[in-house]
Amino acid sequence: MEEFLLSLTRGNVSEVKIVLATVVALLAAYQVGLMAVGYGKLQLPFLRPLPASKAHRAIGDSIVAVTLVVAVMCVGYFGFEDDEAVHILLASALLAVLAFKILVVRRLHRLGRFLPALGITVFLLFWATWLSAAVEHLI
Amino acid sequence: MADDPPRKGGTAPQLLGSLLVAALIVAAAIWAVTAKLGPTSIAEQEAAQEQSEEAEEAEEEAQEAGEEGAGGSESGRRRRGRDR
Repeated sequence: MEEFLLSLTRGNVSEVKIVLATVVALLAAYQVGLMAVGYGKLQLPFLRPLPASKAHRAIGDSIVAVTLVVAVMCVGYFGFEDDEAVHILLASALLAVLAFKILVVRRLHRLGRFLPALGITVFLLFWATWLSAAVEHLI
Repeated sequence: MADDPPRKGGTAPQLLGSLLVAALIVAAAIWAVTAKLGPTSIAEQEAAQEQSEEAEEAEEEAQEAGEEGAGGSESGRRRRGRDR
């Protein structure tokens, strides 16, 4: 796995991971804005709630795919190191809450009232996970 | 809904516009992060740091060995003095 990831990224596993993690963190912030329009909390003259919600769903699917790639890279290359306990904890919580949110959107519709809270939690966990790992290479 | 401000365009253009903004965010993030990380990969930087640490350690070891050697020759001289 390690060799595969090294050849896939041409030896730049950390760099690719940082780029992808930063992309999803920024997109997560954009997602919050889109859903604020989707729920009517924010009214813009150029964007209606329906297209905002549809864009949120499409971008969300992409974020999930990229997040899974980052997770596989992280576990496959770095493993579970003791000194990264906080990062591992935050990332695990992020994946769990994200999976639950997708389940609520697609199956557990009766829990739909919790979606805003779940969305905010996912957004905060994305940023906390990013801050716990990628930020040290960017400052 | 009657209070909604008038909005231009249909659903498709607004959806495409929202996706285009997302694409711009992705492009800007990639550009900013790669510019910040620079041309040298983190793996190379870590390897260079490791190499310099190893070189420092080797230098320290060589210094210690030199001091020991100097001390050894002194004691040897003392020993040779006693033998005489």
